[in-house]
Amino acid sequence: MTESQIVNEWIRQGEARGRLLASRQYLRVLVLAKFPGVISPEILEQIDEQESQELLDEWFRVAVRAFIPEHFLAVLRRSPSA
Amino acid sequence: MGVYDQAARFAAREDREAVLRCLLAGKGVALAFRDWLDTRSFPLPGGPDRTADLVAALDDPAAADKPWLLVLEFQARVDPDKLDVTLEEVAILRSRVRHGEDRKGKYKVLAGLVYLQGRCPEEVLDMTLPDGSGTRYAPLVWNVAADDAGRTLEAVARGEFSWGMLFWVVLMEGGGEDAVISRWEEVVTAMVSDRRMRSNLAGIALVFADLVGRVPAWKRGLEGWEMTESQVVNEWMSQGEARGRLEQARKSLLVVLGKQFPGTVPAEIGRLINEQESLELLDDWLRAALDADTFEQFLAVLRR
Repeated sequence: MTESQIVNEWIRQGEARGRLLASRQYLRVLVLAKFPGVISPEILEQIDEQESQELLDEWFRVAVRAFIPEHFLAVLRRSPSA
Repeated sequence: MGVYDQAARFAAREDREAVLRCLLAGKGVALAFRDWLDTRSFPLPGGPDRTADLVAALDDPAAADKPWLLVLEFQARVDPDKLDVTLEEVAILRSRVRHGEDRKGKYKVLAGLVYLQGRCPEEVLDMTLPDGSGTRYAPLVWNVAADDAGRTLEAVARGEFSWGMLFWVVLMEGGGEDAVISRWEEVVTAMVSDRRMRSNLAGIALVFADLVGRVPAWKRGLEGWEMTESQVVNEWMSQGEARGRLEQARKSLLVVLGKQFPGTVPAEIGRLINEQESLELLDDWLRAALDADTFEQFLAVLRR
């Protein structure tokens, strides 16, 4: 971090955006690799439009653990933006 | 380089006339800016990576064959060794840089110290004998805090000072007063038509306000101002974005490895991942972790 609180605030905003963009990207990579042919464009759109870092983290953990796509899709449907 | 130096360099580059006018005020000479000099090829005091904040080549209209170099240094805090260091810089530039078609002409070299807060504690380094022989070093000095913010704004509004003075107003006397900030907004709106440059002015104003403890007043005053078009603000946000992406890439990979190969990921691999600075490599490793049937298969990719 820098000696300026203002600049640190901008850097933190950038960090949050970077985490959000990377979260969406890795979740897409994960579900497309794990559930080939099952993930619809609507699901990908839902991932790309999600603004909550907490929710994306949760979706990622669920997708990693899910044995079948329905487990992941059910959580997605229950989430606030579904 | 600190963020205040970065902000000052940016402001000086965007409107060099503003800084030149302040440094040369009352000196009885009108040196004209020609170009910025790349100082990376001249080792300066402080190590091989040390460069002067900015070096400008200036022309003297009264003596076209005798150009000047101006070493610009921005001081966010008082440095008691500044005169010594800049004297070295001046000497190095004098002895190593040449001008003219035959590259044999030596520049006259000046230093210009811009104090972003406080005052230059010692403006002259006098090492002369009683008869005047010896060395006397007297850089140009602009103590920004000694200027009056309100008068400067009116001079910009009348077109007597160039628009770039607006970068520095926050640092001047009275620069934290609500009336000055309101007037600053009016003058910026009237004199600067480019939206991106207005964003830059607002961004730099906030950074300088931070330096001199005027953030609350300027944040209040600049409420509603768009900063996202500012190159200087976006540069800092991009630094943060890159760091955020890297953190998330490491975290995602560790989550995948922990699930795919529970209990088999050694601490040293965790460390290796957490120390990896290449986003591209982390992306490859994540894909490899998803493709691998065994931890050994993943390790084989890691070793490559």
